[in-house]
Amino acid sequence: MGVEFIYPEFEVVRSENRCIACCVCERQCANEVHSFDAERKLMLSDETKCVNCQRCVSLCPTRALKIVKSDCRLRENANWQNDTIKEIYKQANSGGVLLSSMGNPKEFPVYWDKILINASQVTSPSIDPLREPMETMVFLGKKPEKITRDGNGALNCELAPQLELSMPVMFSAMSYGSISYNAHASLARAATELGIYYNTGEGGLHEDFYVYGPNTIVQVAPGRFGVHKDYLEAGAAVEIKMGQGTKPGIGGHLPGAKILGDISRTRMVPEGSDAISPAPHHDIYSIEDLRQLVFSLKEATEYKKPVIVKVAAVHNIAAIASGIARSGADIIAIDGFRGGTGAAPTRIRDNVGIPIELALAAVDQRLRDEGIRNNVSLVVGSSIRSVSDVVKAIALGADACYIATAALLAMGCHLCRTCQSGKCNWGIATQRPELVKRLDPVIGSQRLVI
Amino acid sequence: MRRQRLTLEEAASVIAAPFWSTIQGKDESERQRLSYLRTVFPSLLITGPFSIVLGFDGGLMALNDRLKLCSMVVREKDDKVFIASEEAAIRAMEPNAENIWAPAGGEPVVVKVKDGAF
Repeated sequence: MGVEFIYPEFEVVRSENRCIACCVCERQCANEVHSFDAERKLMLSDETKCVNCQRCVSLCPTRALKIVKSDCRLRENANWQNDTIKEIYKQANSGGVLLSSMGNPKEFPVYWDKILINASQVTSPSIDPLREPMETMVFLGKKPEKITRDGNGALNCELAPQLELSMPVMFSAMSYGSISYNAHASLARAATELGIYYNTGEGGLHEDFYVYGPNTIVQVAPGRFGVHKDYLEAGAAVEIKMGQGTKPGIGGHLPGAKILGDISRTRMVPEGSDAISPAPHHDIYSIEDLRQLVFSLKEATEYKKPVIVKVAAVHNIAAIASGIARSGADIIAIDGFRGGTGAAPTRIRDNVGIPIELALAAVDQRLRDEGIRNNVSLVVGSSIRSVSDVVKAIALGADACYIATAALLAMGCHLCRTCQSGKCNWGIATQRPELVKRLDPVIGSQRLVI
Repeated sequence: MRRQRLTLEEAASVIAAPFWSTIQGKDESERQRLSYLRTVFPSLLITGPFSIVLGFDGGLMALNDRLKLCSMVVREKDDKVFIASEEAAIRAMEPNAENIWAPAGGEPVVVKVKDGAF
């Protein structure tokens, strides 16, 4: 203790009447908050290690536990907020870069919540899904500008490769490495059962998951980890990752501690070495360069698979999207500033990027104005939290949505935002075998499907 | 139709497109044609109830929504065709009209004037 001490953010409240000292909390907590004092026959807690993931709360058989926000506060200051000061303490203590996980938690406006949906009732009413059949199937990919006919006047039905979705939702990119084998298995199974797609992220595709290829989007990120011909051929579509909403302008980072065994093999990265993606693709510094990669990938997959280009929502996104639409890409994926991550520098996560709602509307309008909206489908992601967000996104011009955080929540994530530690007690953002096995892929995928 | 030069029947298969499950049951070429139209023009599909009569040079087309939530009946008499939401309206105009039928949802009724009349 001393100048380095930072008072814990949370308090573990244990009801002594209810606690039976069964030590479930001790076994469940990878952060080692709970311990049993054999002499005094008491459960103790070390709150400095608690991240408020609620694992112990959920598993305590007698409901003896709750985690509350600590009320030990620094003197209030509207300019120097509690968190701001503590982050400086943390940096002064360690000298390291502050890392954070999941999406931007700051109080920026959520425009989805400022939008309401209109419904007509006297004139043409909407169809009622309880009584009338409703279809949600969507095709993503390039659409022809003009229809063509053969000599007999029949329609020429040739189309550029399309992705067929049973509903306008896909699981967005989360790499094997940042999330566990079982989490990937859950997503892959759920995508297959639902008739949608999941995305490998930049970590390659584990050999066990090639069987889910028809429902897989394989990503080619700046680090090109795990990219080879079979990988490209395994997926239903190839995604070029130019940027990520949570950290526009910088690449992915998987610490060496997570690069073990299968992950090292899948990524084609030596065990224990950090897998650091560069910010840009080092062969792409213009739309013309991007076009070369788009067509290299199309050549490699014999023009049978649509190519997606994923970019972060930033200033001038409309002009960027217009360039991408002309680069030969079939689908543009735009990721807003609220997008999640397994690890990003805190300052970048919290301060860079623009809201997806604004980016989406601007891009759709620009592509329409330029008459190239048919060239591409638009997919948007970053905190699409519910079906009403999906409907609003589609109303603003999207063809489909990417969801990731919502999918993780369905699998058990409690949004404690400490994925970077690799000690996820829910078996999702971890590679420790004893934690990974807590997530059963059968149950995980079932919860996603329901 | 003006921009893409779709035929009347094709335009009907776009705005009152058959369900995917119906398309699945069609023969190969029809399935291809209908899937193509739905894939290329998905945002032109109208899901709610409607019945429209579209006039063009030399004829007209009547079309119901694909679920037939709105009603529409057609009757004929000699060289005349009557289209209305209710049969009563047609009876008021022509009590002796014949060949009554209610077109299925999404089935276009195209009537053209006699050759040379236009």
